[in-house]
Amino acid sequence: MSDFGRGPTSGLTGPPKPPPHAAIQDGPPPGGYPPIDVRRNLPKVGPSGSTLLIGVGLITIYGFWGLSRSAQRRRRLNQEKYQIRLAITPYLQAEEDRHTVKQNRRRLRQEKELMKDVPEYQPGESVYKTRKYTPYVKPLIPGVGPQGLP
Amino acid sequence: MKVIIEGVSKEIVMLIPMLIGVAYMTLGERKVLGGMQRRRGPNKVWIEGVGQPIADGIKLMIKEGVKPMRAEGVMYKAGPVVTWMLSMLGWSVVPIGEGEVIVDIEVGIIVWMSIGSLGVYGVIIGGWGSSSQYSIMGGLRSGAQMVSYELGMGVMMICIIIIGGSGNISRIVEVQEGVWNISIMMPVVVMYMGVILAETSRTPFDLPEAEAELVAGYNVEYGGMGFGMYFLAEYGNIILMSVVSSVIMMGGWNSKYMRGELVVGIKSTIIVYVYIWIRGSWCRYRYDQLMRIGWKGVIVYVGGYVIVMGSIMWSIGGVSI
Amino acid sequence: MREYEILMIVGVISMLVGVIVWEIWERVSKEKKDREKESAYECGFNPFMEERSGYEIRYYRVGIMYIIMDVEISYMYPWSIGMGEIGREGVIGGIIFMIILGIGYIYEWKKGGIEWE
Repeated sequence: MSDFGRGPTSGLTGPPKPPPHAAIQDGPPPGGYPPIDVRRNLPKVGPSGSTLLIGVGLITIYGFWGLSRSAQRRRRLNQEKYQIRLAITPYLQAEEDRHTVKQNRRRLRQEKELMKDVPEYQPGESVYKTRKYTPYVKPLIPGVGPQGLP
Repeated sequence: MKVIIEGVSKEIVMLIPMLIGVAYMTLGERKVLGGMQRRRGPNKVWIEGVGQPIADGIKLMIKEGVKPMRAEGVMYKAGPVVTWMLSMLGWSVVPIGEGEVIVDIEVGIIVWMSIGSLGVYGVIIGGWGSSSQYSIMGGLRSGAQMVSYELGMGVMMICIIIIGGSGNISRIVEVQEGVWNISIMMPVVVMYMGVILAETSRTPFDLPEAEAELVAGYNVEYGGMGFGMYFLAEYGNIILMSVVSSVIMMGGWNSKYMRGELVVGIKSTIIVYVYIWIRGSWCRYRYDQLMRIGWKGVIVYVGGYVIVMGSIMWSIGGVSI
Repeated sequence: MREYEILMIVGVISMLVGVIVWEIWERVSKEKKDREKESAYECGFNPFMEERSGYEIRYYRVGIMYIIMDVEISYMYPWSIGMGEIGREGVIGGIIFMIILGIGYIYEWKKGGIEWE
């Protein structure tokens, strides 16, 4: 593209004169253009990758540490409940035995009263062949266990 | 009979707040998106647009239903109904406060996962039943996406169960009285966010409603309340997913200062806000990128983390609830 | 058992609510029948091909991969509950299971089974 013929012309002064200087052509500057920077120019936002990695690692370690602490605390509480229950178990068993004896006497009395008309009936005789006494034992720790199931 | 009365009353107590929440989440989403784009959002109906969700509901209800000629009657009807039902059923195992749960079962988190997996059926039945090329294509794409991310979700839930030592969501919350699970899950928490976004088909994984390739995905043939039921179910799933995330990851109702339900509500609202924020600022992934993230990223990394976490939890001797 | 009964009742009621809403909508909104309106969606012309004339094999492949992996993951749930009770052998057994699963996964990956090209 040159400047030839582009100046302000008017039809009254005849054909346009050639410019006084030689035609200048657009081209690369001497030595060529500098290399174009094609990198994406993204802003640097936020902490760097290594910071993030270390931060996430620290948070994870803190999480496991806190979890193990709370687990230990819970385990100690469970153990305490277990010990308490263990300590009072003889008393509970004694209560249970006393209750059983009382109920047995009552049952025997009622049976005697009910079956007094029937001859050759032995009140209190077991219908089973077993002669061994098997007491009713409650589970030692109701509601305390690894799963908390009753 | 007592069981039936209990079930019905619990269902009603659950259903009505959920519907109100979903309705006002749509308004909140439009308001927040408007604020992010320097608009005002809906502000004409009543005071600052408070009546907008009700007006939308009435409009959907009285809109003319155009049922396509070739649609298969039962399946066309079953799609939205199944999606809606599963969206409401998912709430039944999720506690929102101490002991405030409809069914408190030992396998709660697995039941919740399986109800979420069934959600694929609603989408595929609806897409197949409406007999249009676009809806079938959209249903298949949506189904493949939900199915792929279901696996990532399953592996995440194995991590959560390892921490909690139980499948009962209330117990998982009890374990978090010291530290929140989010700190233990920190190496995979970004993937967790991606998985819950993809499970509910939200931006940046909202491929099912890619308007450029498919007109509107699986629900192109639905208008009126059919579309409305899909819409309500989708937003209900978002709120449910936020509540579950706040319960199993962010400490649930453990607080010294406030009522537990209020704490869960605040945390869930923050997660819902993050959902909307991501929609306001990110663009959509391509479908192959979605599949690559799901199959080659999430499952592999989280599966590796399961091994690490199992070993560490064994070395500290379990949580012994 | 009672809890599961309540779960079932909740499911039935949810479905009933959905069906009732749909039916009310069908009664409230009268549809004016029109042939063009009722045709399947297309951008202004008649559809070129039959709907359901086939779909891509890739979806099928994803479905099969999902079934395999999902079954394996559901085997992991019982293992994951008792990390404090199963002891060293239990933990190592679970890890060996996961390693075998990983070998199978690598095989499928190398075969191109999970590519979405």
